[in-house]
Amino acid sequence: MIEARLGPRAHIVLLGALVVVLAGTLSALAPSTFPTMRNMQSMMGQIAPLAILAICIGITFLIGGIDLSIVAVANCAAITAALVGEAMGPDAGALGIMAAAGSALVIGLLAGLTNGFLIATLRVHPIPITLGTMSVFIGISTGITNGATVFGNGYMSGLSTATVVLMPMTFVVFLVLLALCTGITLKTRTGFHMYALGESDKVARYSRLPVTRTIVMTYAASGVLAAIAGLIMFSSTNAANVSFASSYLMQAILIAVVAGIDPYGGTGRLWAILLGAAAMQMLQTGINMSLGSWSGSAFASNFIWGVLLIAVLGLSKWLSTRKHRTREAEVEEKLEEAEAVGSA
Amino acid sequence: MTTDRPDAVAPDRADFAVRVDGVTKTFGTVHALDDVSFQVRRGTIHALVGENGSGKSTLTKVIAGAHAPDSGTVTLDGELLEDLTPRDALRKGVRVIYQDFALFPNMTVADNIGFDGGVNPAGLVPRGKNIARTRSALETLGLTISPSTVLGSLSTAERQLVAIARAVSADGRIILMDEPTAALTQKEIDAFLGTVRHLASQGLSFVFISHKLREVVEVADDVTIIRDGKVVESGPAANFDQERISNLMTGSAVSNVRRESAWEVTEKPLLSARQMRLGSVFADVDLELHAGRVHGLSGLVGCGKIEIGLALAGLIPIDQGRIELDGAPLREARSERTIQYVPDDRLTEGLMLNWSIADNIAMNSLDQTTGRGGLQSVPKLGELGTRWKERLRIKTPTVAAPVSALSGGNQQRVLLSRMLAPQPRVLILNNPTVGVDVGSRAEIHDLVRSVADDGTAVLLISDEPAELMSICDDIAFVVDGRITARHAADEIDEERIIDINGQGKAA
Repeated sequence: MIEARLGPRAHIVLLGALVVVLAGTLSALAPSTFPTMRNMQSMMGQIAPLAILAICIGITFLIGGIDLSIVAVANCAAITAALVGEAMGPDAGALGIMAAAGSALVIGLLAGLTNGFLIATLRVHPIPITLGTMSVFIGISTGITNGATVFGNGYMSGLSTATVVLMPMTFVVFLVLLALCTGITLKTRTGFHMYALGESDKVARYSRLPVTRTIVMTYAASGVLAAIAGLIMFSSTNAANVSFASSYLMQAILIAVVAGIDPYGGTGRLWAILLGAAAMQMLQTGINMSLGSWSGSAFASNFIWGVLLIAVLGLSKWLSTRKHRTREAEVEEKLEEAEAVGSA
Repeated sequence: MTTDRPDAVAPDRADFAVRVDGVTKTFGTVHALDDVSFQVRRGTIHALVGENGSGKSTLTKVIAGAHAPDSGTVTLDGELLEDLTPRDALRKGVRVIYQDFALFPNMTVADNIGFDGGVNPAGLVPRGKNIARTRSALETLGLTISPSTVLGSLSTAERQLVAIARAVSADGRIILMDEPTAALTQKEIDAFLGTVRHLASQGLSFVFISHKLREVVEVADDVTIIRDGKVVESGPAANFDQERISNLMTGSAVSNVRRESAWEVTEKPLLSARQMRLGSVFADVDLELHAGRVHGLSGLVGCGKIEIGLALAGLIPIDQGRIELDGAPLREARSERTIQYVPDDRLTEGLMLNWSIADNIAMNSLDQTTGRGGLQSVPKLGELGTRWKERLRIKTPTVAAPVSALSGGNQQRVLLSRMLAPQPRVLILNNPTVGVDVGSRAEIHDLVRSVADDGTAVLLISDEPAELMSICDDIAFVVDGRITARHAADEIDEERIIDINGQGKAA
């Protein structure tokens, strides 16, 4: 019934297989270091902020847009948290944590609302708009910090050290956010409107769906999620800088694409970001293990991400075209059968 | 006018500008063309008539090389062309003038006429040569338009003539015209047809698609009538009169049904527009839609009638005036669910073609597909889809099928289901039967009548007089964005509708 919105199942099956194969291979190659609780926990901790940024890309992809300002927003939020924490003083306790986290989230929300209003009202493509706001957010952060790294007073570190059911707290936060977003997109009217807008904004407009509201809400959500990712990054390093995590934007896009979310909008399952993130993290671990001693390993991984991105895009396009053709052919066959029966 | 027509005697094969033999073309399960044979004699005007969706456009596309036929052959200018491509067709002098002209409104007449004339070796546009060429092409047509005029400042009729000038100047010898007079007033039509006749007498051949039968009888040398993808009759124009063509087009199956069960006009209209104005698009528009009545909006293409419908649905803003629902001012017409708007272009404005039928139907009534805990439920989505599939008799094995697998008529039913599912009190329809087969068309008309019988106020915007006559209780006529006349449907007939629209401003 809603297959066209979910996208081809074969994509998910292949992605799941990729995760299993990667896990198997890495376990076989490094039986003493890879399949250990410690390594798993460390991988989960590493991927959590990136995976949350991938949700930002995922939801904006769904409505046929993209948010390129997420890393800038994350850093901006982290810097806000650091500065507010400092201003509250080391003895502020729980109140300090709430104030720091709260102000970071508000910054994320404001940034997201700005993106959303600009895109909805100017009706310009989100790539130039969010590139523009990205520069603006970087500029503001640089102006406030003079480009220097700001440090926290360690009160947020609990977020990155705590564990829940053997999983790092940050990863649990990611899982909860992912479940929430998946539920909203698949189970609510707003979610339907998001898919509709992504499939064809013209049809959505003529159908008089609340297009502007959907756009603004989606980018606002993207901003808040980015701020959460920023808080997580801040909590693990206790430091914030405008230039942190600059490679995360492309990697977040890669995860969303690998997860089968159509960059043209209207198709995809958000929960597959979990599989995409797992595949991504294991590939990164594999690259580190095999090329770790080589000085060019960072570039090698960039190269591999690029190849992977293009390959997955091609595969996913091919799969969905084929799927659509078979669905059409099935109907035609059945109609012809029915006609043959009717005329006999 | 009969004196300068070539003799109707059967000429030999070489004298055919276009010859189509036994062409069949299917799209999915739909037979768009079924063993069609069709000839155009050189230097004549051949009218191709048929209802919407009968296969006229497909046939012109086959001749232009845009659609490859499944079987059958196309011979252009005496040369049998296997695997005809658009480029081959161009080389043989085939030019298609589409209804929307495909001209560039921001460029000058000379640029529009010369742009496909190639470039000089340096890759530059030969502006001087273009202007000379344009001047001579315009002269051929007896036009006095300056080549340096910006196209957008010309009238619709003049633009239509520029499109022809372009075809002629680019060495067009076989010109296919799709509804060339849809946007013209009667006076403009007369001048236009005169020009076409004049060009035909110089040896150009025309295929003229129209459903304005009066023009067909007036201007054509030969007439071919096509219905459901088959040629039903073909021969010299002298053998036909309007009534005969009309009967052949519809297969005499359609009796002139009229709506007889209209509700009485109530004191308070359900939806009303008062002195609506939008820039130069429309002005001083007063409209009242009453429960249980169908109000028609008629006018030439581009007269502003579609925009009036869009404004009532809140899809475009208005500069002045107000819209009232139940007598109370309606500020956010766009989010008013009791008003539903059905766009005419179902392929780009109406339907999510890849999505399932159920998804498409549920789009505007998601409150009905809400299950436990206020969450959207896929089974309920299917139920809603199936309910409407049965109600509107959508021909499909399952509502999980993508809409793109359906025929035009069934796609239109999906679109209507979406707008009817929220049980609107006001329904605005924009050409609801474009590209729909005759059977579906009659059923859709029945449906609209029954929706009105249930107390919905309907606004029908249509280019087709027959459709207006078949459904409406009252008809308003729009000329240049103003309502110039209002008639009860039983006071007038199809001919009168064409007359009123053709008179233009004078009405």
